[in-house]
Amino acid sequence: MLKLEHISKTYRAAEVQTAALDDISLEVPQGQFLAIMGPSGCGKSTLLNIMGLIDSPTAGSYWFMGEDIARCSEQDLTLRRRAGVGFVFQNFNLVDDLNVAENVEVALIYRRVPAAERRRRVSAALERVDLVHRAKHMPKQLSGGQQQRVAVARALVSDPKVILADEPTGNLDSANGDAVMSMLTGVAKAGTTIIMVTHSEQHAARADRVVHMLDGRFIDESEL
Amino acid sequence: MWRNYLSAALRNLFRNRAYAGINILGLAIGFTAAILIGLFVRDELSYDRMWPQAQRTYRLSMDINGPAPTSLGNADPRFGPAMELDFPEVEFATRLWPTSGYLKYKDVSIWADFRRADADFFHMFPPQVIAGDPVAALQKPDMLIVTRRFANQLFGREDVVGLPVDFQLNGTVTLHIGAVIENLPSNTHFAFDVIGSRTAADPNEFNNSLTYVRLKPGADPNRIRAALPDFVRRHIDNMIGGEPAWKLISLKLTALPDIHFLPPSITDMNAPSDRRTVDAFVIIALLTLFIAGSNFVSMMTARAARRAVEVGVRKSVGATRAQIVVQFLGECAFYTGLALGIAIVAVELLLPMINGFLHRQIAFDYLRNPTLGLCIVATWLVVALAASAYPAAVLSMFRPATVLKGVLSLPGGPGRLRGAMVVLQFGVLVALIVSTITIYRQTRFAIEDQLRVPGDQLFVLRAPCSRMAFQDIARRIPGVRAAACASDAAMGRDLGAAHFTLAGGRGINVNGGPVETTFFSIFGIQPVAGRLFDDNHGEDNILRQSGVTKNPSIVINESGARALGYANAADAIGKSPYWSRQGVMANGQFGRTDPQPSQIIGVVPDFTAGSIRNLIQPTVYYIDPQGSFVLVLKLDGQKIPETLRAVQEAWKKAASGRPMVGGQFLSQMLNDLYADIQRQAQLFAAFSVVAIVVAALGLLGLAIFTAERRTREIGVRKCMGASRIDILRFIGWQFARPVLIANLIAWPTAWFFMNRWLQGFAYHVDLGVLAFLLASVLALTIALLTVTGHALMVSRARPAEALRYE
Repeated sequence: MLKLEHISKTYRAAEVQTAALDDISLEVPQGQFLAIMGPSGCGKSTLLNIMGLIDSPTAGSYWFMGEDIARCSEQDLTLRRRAGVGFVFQNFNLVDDLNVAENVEVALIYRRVPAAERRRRVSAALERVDLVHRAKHMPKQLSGGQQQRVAVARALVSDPKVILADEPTGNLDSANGDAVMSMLTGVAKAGTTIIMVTHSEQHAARADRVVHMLDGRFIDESEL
Repeated sequence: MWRNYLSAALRNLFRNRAYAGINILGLAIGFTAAILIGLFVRDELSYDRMWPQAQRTYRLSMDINGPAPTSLGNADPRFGPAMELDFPEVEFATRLWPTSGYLKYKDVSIWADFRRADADFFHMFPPQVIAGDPVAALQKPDMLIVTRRFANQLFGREDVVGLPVDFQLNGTVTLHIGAVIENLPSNTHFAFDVIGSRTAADPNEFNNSLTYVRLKPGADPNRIRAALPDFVRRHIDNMIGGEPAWKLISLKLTALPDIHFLPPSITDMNAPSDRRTVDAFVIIALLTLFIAGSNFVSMMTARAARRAVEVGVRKSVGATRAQIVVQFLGECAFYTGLALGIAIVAVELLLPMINGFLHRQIAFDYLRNPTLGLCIVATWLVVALAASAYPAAVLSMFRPATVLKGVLSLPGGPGRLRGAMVVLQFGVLVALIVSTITIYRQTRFAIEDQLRVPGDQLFVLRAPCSRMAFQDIARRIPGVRAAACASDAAMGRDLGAAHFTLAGGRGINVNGGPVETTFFSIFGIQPVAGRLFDDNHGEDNILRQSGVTKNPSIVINESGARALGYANAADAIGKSPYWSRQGVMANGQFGRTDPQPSQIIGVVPDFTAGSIRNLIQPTVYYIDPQGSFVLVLKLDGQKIPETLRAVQEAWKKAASGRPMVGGQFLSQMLNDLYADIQRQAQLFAAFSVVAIVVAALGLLGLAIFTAERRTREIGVRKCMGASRIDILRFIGWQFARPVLIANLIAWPTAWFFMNRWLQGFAYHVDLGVLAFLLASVLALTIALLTVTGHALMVSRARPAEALRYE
């Protein structure tokens, strides 16, 4: 489903050049739960951003659902993102000015989903994460774990082909972190491809496959 | 989608209500000022456009050439009918003559300045009729057409058609009310409450008249203008001092809507306006809107970082850049719409006060007037678009990859842009303050410096000095220190006719001002050469005897000495030029006397109690009770109220109950004369204050933003040992620097415009450097005061709190 070939990403600032990714190749079949691990600054998030179509590689090919989109414009990436990608972030990234239901709804409003259908799907997504009773609450009225569950609901509501989770349990205690991991595992079992960046060996163990990175390169991987 | 956008916008507004409040309030003030000025400018440009066929209706007026050229609003009365005959393009002409006297009904007597009109006056200027038939009334002799206001003043009611009114001037004539019309609107150069039809023997018939011509459709006024010199030559055949009189006269044809912007003339019924003033107000409106709009842009952009996460999330779920732009354009349009709503309410509340201040009837009729409504909507859209384009562009450029990680890098330039906007705003502010100070100084100069006599001790009333001798009665009243008969011409408020014949037969017209012996002393004027009038010199006051046709001794002003060709004032003393004046002629009739010699006994400095917009005329002063209709009383400054009461009591007895006419302190007369520039000065000051408030609001918002943005930095500085004063100085300098730079823009701009404005006065103050320094200091003080409050709060915070701030 996702295939990266010789991907590199270089950042330029004034006269300083930094290689965040160096000749990465990776294939992720449909439905796989992949965990990416590595120390801070090794390029995990950069790789995730490229895979999630919110950044572009400097070199290499990226086949997203059969299409090479490495050189696509921002507009094209947006349309593909809209069609099939969901995100879960470490710091939740809920919009403070929207309530829980509206935050989840944001994932649908750019997909031209009619209002009634949107309401139904938002309700279903919140039910899935057990937060229907908090639909009208504002993010600052929720605990960290609840906020992350809202973010998971937002990622799920659009039925994406792939969900990218960047350290989804990084700001949660162990109980909430386990709860979120259980949700993601359940989603993976239902057939959604999940790519997760994590520091936690324990959480990585729940994935189907783990790859390790160092200095912008893969160093090993293991199938679990 | 729009509901989602609206929810975000409303909650963001509420969450940042103080900041948003400052933003929206500043924009609302800008809109309010712009709308009020727009209404004022619309009113200024609407003068006399309400009359039918205004675009092909013109006023004919004369310019008198000579040593001090004078523009009159009127013309020789023969010209109107002559134009109907000479120019086929002229459809018809009509005329108005000024006249005045007491109008009396039963016990009520009112001094009225009214106009006699040709029979077809109301064909050209049809009034709104309340009762009677004004057109028919003007066809008959001895009829009056009065306004609703005058009817209520004289009769106490409006159903007065047919009632008799006694007109008292030199005798009593009974006139009848022919019609009652609506009060004239404020946006016309006409100002009258009474119009009278022509009488069988009108003593004013040969005086100059206000003359109006209506051209036929398609007629070219420029063709008529080109033919006017020949027209004058054909119709003015008399000689003045051996020269053809037509050489002294130029005729002007002015379209009706343009009359309001002509330079002031002594025949004006309503004070005209200055086109440059209107332009200046338009500029102020645009500048105020610019300041308010740029504040809005600045603060919206400054707050962009707080919406970064939202933008990142929306982009990550598939929002295109265009959709982000549309969202924030819509949000800005919402905020500007709120500001506009507040402004509309503010204008509705303020407009009655503005109308009272300006004596106008300006309407805010956006519902009845689609053009005005559309202009307001268009202004909203333009401001919304202009103000939101940059913030929307900045916000839509946020890259989700960076903002969602909490690393925000704003595109380069917003800090520099904000700094540039602060510089521009304060440049405008400094220029406005300089303008306000200059206008204020010029106004004070006009009112106080010209006379060098406390105007609040000189009381002026109308009194026929020869017939009534009220001056002798007044001198005996305790508290009246001096009394002097004078004339409007002597005081520079009218033009008197006097003609001098120079060597070689050349003649010049000068202003002739009848006065009395004590005239100059009452104004504190000393001669620069020779002496002043003295009752011990019989030749000074020979005109006190009736039937005298010789000329008395004369005093001239310095302009007069130059016009008569004397090298200096002393050279004029003892000379006896031939001259003629308005007075009793050899046949006993009143008119221009034959030229007779007069000895020049003194030369006085140029002075005027008239407008300093006009050059002071060369003037000859002479004692003539027949020509003196103004009485000036100098009152004891310690006893003014009781002296005034005594004067009014004495007048009642002497005038057989007729009300006193005039009866004003000279300072009040001068205030009225300069009422237009005083109002101008006050309006400038008011809008300068508005601009200051808007700029200060913008600065406050920026101060809050800067302090928030630099909270960690301030915490670190405090950890390194910075004191509260160091922090205040640090924040203060962020804003003092652009204000100081702003002076580089403001000083040359203000100098250029104020210099041009002052050139419109014959006599004016110098544009000194003090106004500029004062304006700069004031702007800097405002800037520092605005940011100090917030800076104090920030400087008091504990470093640990600042370092934890995120």
